[in-house]
Amino acid sequence: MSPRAASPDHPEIAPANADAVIACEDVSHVYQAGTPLESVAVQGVSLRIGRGEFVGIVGPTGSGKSTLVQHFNGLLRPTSGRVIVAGESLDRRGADVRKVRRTVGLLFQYPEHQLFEETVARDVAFGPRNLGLDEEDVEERVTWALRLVGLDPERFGPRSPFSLSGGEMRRVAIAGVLAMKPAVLVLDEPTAGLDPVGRREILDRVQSLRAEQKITIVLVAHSMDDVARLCERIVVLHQGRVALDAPTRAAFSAADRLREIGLDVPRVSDLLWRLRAGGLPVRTDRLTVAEAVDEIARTMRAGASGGRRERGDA
Amino acid sequence: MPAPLLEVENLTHVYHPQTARAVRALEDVSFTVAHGEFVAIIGGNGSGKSTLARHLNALLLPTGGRVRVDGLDTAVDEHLWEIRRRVGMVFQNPDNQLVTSIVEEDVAFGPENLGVPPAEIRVRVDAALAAVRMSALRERPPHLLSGGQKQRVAIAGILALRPSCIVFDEATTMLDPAGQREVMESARCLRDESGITIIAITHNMDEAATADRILVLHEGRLALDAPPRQLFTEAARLRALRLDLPEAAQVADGLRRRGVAVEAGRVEIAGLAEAILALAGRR
Amino acid sequence: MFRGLVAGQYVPRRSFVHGLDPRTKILASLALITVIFLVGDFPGYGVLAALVIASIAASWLPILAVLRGLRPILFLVVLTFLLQVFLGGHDDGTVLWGGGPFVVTREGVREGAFVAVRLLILVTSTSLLTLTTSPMDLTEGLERLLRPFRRVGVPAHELAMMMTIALRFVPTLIDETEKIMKAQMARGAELQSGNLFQRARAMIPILVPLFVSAFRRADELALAMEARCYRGGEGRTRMRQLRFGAGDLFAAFTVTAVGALAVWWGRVS
Repeated sequence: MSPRAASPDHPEIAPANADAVIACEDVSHVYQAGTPLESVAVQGVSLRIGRGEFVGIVGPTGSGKSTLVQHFNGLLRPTSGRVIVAGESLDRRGADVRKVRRTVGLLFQYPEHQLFEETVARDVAFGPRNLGLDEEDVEERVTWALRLVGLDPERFGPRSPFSLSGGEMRRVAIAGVLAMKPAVLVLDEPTAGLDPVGRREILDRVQSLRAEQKITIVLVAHSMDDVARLCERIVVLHQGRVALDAPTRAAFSAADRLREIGLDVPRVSDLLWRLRAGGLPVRTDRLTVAEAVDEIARTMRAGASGGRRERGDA
Repeated sequence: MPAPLLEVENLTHVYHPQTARAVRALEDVSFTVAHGEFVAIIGGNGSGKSTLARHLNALLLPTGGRVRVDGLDTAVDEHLWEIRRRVGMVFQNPDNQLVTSIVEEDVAFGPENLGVPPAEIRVRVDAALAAVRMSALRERPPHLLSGGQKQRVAIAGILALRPSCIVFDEATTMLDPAGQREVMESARCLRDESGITIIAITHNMDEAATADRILVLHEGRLALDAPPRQLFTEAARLRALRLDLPEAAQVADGLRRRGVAVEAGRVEIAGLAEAILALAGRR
Repeated sequence: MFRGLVAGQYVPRRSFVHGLDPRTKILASLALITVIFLVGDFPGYGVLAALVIASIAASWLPILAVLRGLRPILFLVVLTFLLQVFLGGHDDGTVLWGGGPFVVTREGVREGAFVAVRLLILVTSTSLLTLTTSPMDLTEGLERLLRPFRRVGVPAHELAMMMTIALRFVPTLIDETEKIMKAQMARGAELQSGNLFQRARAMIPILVPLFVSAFRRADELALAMEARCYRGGEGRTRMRQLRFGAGDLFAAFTVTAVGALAVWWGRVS
């Protein structure tokens, strides 16, 4: 059963948006409304996330990222506006929140802190059991999910989650959400606190989930470097509003805009912008180290030959 | 040459010694750190970084070898409090190291433990908060501060003890980029203006790249000890130690392979940009 | 929901009452509580009510904040009143209203009003303490007051340190609880449905991570405290100094005098 086949039809979404698995329309969220502590976390956000997309949501701390993504699976309801997930409008009373939570898996920051069972296998089984699946299906999903995160079910299944390393615990937590077979996986800072190798392992897994399981991925991060490398589209939040929503390359060629908001541009973009400002005509829409090396080497070679020609002309 | 601040000699640490669960966390580690140095200690998870950090202010004692702070042996009981006063430690989780629910009371916690007279504590607390630019938030409860602010309060709490050295034990790992910058800027400023020795344990390579010197731990042993410029030219060796190059060093490495002879050891973006522009004849 | 509870009731102001030594306020509150139980008649309560109202005025507290503090116990006050009125059992009293098994007598109403007023004064005067004294001051005051009892084995410093740490960590743990609840709900946990047994079972996925994290925090905090030279209360000084001033003298005198007056005036006649 592929996640795509498992997901239901969504008659309520207009045909033009038929591919939007999550649609926010003018969503605002106010905490402690009507009290002196009232604070607006999200303001007038409209956003569509299509099936199979890989979207990065970035913004400084306090920009409303975490609040926004909690609307995606009904953990928070909008103060105003509408959120439609898989055809289910969440502002309606009696909306099928369970169905929404099945469609959108949400992984919080430091998800290993939610592990509680005696064994890894039982912890991963928590979600599927809550779905009311029979034991055979549950077991099958546990095995499937642990394999997806690169943990051998035979070896890790019977162990206590609390005996694992930080990176392994995090992967168990991810498996716990994957075992619910969501069509969309929202990851809030999935690499926070890991060493470079642990980070790479997690991000590689996420990439292959997208490629092999066709799961829609929403990656929430403040590290621009990871987002630039992985996501096709970037949504930048600033003070609760969408400041930028663009394909990744376009987003980082607007580096000045990002700096104004107080966001770091990826280091690679930073380097290219500095070179350009210094008079070296490199393109600034390169995102990975390899791309940047190519671009700089190419420009310098062209520059070197161009320089000779100039001298020749004179 | 003046005596070094920290002397680590053949340090070995075994957790749960003489039991079935015995784990060798450090094996024959030796190095010294001079007064006023900024040293980064890097290594993958489980390389022994935090164990090493805890030896520097006698939170752990050597199974073998010796650690001395300003000549004081950490294994000698009478030196314990003087060593902890001289070497402060900022820990990873900003939430789990502040003790009281008012910022300035927390900063006072250390000197209070030493029995410093109240008027003197007041002076030290005010100076410490000013040094990390937290004076305006002195009466806040810590749980309403950002991660970077909490870590700065923790730094102030150590400064109030008038230390010679501050160890940052992955103190930026749980912070956002803005918080990481706040904390590292505070550290650098303390070193430059007050001559406080900084030991930064980290797995953020860009952070390490700004140190005077980097120690690399691997499986409990000291694998490398070199200045960043030299260290980050050894890409292959670092990868074998489960470590990454900073991105600037990766680009420089890639360019050299493509025949663009960028000066070796450019480890920061700004420096690398300058080097490339110089090579292209644009500056 | 939890947040209001935890922030405590403290309302910062720069008033006469706020400026008093916490020890004065703690002792005055204790004295008032004792007096309340010694007073046996309405005139005494009149005197006490006047003192409480004067203290509120001298604390510059918004009257709404004080009344809001009373809201949770309003139910209790009304309930005690009604219980006294209907079930007080004054067989020989003046009957005001009678119907079936319930008989309302003049003495019953009087008794009910008596208990209700007693409760109101009790709660107002103690909440005045927490409204005008920061939790840190309160802790500090308690530690100093208990210090003389160390010789008989009262761990004054340890108690105060425990209170300090609790004050510091309760908000953190509440945030954490909310986060874990949300994380388990995202995995399909049903926390609000089912019978009592099912609900208790549903708490396990919340409580286990919460305990694990609380122990981890405790470990890390202990290490951080040790690193900052903590070695118990012996030889410790405090930055914050409590000072017993003229205001405290005045307050202590007033409370003593008014309390004595109330007891004398409120004798059971």
